[in-house]
Amino acid sequence: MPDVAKKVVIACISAHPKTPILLRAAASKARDTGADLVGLYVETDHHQSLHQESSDRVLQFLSMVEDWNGTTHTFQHTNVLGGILEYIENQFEAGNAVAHVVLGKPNREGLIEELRPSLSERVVKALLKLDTPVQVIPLSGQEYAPSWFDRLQLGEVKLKAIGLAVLAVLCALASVEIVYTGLTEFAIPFQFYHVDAFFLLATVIVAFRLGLMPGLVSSILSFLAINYFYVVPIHSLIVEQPADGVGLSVLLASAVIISLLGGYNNASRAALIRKEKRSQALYAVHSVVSDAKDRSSAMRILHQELSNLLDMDVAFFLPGTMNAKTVEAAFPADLELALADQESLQLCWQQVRSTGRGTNLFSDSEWRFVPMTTMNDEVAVLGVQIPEIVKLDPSFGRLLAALADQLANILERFELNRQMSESKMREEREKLRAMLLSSVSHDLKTPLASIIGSLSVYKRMLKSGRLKEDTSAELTDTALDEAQRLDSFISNILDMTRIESGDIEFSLDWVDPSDPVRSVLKRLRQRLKDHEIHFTEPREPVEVHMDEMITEQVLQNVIDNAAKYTPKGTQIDVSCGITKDGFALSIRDHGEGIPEENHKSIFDKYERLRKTDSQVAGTGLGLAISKAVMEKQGGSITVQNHPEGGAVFTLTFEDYRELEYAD
Amino acid sequence: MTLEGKKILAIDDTASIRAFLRVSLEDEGAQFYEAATAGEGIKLCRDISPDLVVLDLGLPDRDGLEILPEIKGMQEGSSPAVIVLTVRRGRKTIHDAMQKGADAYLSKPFMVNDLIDKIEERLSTTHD
Repeated sequence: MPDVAKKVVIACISAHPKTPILLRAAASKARDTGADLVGLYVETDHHQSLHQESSDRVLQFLSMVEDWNGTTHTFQHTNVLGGILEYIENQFEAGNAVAHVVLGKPNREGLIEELRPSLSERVVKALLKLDTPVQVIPLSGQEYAPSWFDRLQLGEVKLKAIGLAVLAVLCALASVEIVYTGLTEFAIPFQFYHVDAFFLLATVIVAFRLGLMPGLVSSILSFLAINYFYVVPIHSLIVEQPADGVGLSVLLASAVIISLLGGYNNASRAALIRKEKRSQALYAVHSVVSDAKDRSSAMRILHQELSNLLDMDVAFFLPGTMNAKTVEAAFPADLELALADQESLQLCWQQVRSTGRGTNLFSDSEWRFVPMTTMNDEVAVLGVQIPEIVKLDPSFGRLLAALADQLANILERFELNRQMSESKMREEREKLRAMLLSSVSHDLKTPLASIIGSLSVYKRMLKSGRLKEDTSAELTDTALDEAQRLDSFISNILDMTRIESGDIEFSLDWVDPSDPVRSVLKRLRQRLKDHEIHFTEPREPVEVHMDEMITEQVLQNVIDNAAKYTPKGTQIDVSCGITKDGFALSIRDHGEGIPEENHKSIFDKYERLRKTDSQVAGTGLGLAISKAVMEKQGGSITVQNHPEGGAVFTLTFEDYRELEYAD
Repeated sequence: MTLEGKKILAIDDTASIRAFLRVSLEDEGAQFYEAATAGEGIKLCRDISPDLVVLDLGLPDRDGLEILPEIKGMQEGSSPAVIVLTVRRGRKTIHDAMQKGADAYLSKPFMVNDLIDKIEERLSTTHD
């Protein structure tokens, strides 16, 4: 017993496989009310006779409570009810407040089981006396166990069927009269007991076609008609001859038996049809999702198929985040519910029970919500919009519960798949990160090796007094060049990081596209001195929406590459104009071009990492950065080989405007 | 002029590294040869039979570790000493290189004094 007074929520654990649902409800209650979660298992003599699997389950549920920071108690008692009550009393004695008791109610079938008050009912009754709130959770979600009475379908008698029964009796009467008249004409004697056959035939047809109640109606009407029209004294309901009395009684008894048989036959047929429909739906859910690639496409397909099959609108609701207290429409996502339906939906989710139409909560709504549970957890809510005119039959709740559980398993499977592929992706990302790190360290160390090497040679030769002027210049030039290479590489890495983390701010403006080109060509004049540059300005005056500084850097990178990787004396063409994708700036060199298989990968910062450390030329990240910044300003950069040779890099900007000619 | 007359071949794809190696090794009196790829390196190795090879592991066409046994087993009688250069620092790389016949190991970046010390050490043990 605890030493300090506290508030507890008691979850009554049983071996029922769906107990986790109850535990979950209790845990969320405990969280909401700030109470401690207690998992209580009452061990009776019955426990010894439990199946191994069941007793293992109990242990599993107890440890589940411990996982959720609850405490567990196994309490021995001769019966469960007594155990629960005694435990609660012990809590009271220890000065603890029992904020809530959560227990499950398994569904039961059979006439006798239905008549006996269930354990949960008895606990509820007993706890009400103790003023302790109780929450009962139906553990299979099947509050629609059909009763014996239901099976005879007495509740479903239609006026039309009764009318047809009356009509059948009238037909029998008419037939008798016609046959009687006919036979009299040919002077064939007609016995009155032949009359019975006509009426029995009518009753048989009615009972087998229309069910028990119409059958009974036609039995009684037949009895009365024969008595009135054909038993002496005619045109009265008095029976004079004892033999007639016996005959009539036998007729009535036969008719009632026929009606019962017919009614039962009818009910089984209806049950069969329903079963057929249900198994069709249950079969359908599995076969239709076999095409689905992920959870959302599965929900879309299921929505379509089930809405068709049930003739009702079906919707799925998922928790917004992990362990969310509320669910939201997942498919159709734009579904709007009335306020009461929203409440009904959330109640369904929180208490893990069916709500809405046909249940005892929010029953006047068109919507019915069914919790979708798997062995592990409640994963979603199934909503069905039942049109007002549709009459619910007793097995409908069961169908929905079974469907909901099937769907829950399907959705859970997709969710698990997604989590698995996500963790795979995470692994892949980690691998890339490690590769990037090793590549970066390679790229940093190679120029450093040249710098340190050159300077150490310089120092050694200086010391030995053999350093000549031209050697000295060569060594310091190498060191300087490599230091600059290192600097640009570090800037590139920093730029890439800043672009990726969104730290770079773009200042987009309407710019004459010739401006950045001219400015870059001017800046690179020295490096381009061995190439022939042709710049074709746009034909019409045009302005492009871009960040001018950043575009200049991209252009500089591309034009510099064109000069670096093509032979001296070749030509580089810069041209621009409007294409179907936007305004394009093209840089064409006259080198060897770029192999087609590399047209995508040269823009991928990871791609070159996949090669060995030596195959890296330059600082590498330049094109990846160009691509990232072009995309950030709503454009793109691509490469193609010119049909007449050479690579063509194209910078495309989506936003541009043509200017009117000024007079 | 401690390396007077020694034939030293550097196989490294970084031009600036080959450049400063040439300056300093020629200054020490060595005959310096250079190759930028594994293929060139092997060919040159066969042609000139160097006393020592400075081998970078990250080469564009083939991995340095792969050609190391070829270099070591190329000549009848005495094989050239090989000093491996690389930015890879892993224990496994060092182990592999030694296993495959490297005589010494130097990780980039390095001071040229250390390299020359190692070269002298190798050439005095193998040839003098």
